[in-house]
Amino acid sequence: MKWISGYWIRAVLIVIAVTAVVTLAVWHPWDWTPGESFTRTATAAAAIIGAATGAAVAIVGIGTLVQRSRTDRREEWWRRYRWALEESGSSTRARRRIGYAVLETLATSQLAGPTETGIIDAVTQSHVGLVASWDTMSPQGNGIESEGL
Amino acid sequence: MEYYMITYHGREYEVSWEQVKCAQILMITRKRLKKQPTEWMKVLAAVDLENDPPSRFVRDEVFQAA
Repeated sequence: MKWISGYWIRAVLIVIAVTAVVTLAVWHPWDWTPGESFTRTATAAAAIIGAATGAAVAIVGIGTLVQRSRTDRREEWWRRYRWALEESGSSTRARRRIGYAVLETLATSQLAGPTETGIIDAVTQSHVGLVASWDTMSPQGNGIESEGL
Repeated sequence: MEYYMITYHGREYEVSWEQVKCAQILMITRKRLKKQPTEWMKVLAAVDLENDPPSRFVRDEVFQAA
């Protein structure tokens, strides 16, 4: 719920602050004197407070929708990732290639945060297989080597 | 399965299309994670899968009866 503690809380606080300033400007209670019509200014203040509350609720509502949309898109990202991972392990060359192409696209997606990118990194490294051990291999060897997946 | 020849630390290795593709994906993830790719990742990712001719092609398609 990072968005609640960040941008959206600030937006609601700004709305409340603006409302307070506007209310004081309209109401100016410091000028109020006994006998003055209190009802008129109180009604205006109530209307402003009501409008501000509505705006705050709308901001929170929009925030919720944005968050929901992002969650849905990330869930879809995961669904596609699982599919691509399965395809990349297919016994058919054409399907494997589609799988890897989709994995590559998903790796560049903005929906992939550090966690998702880290997972792709770890899983892809395991796909490479023995090649990853080259960095620790002895320089002596038998020349041409074939590393199957 | 297509294989490509690469030279790593003076030795020749034969790597598959998939391994090269994995290395290219790893270059993307390393960049995003702000982590340095390892040397073998760079060497493998440098293979141009579109234009470099494969050194060997092994038919590995699985045909199943309809």
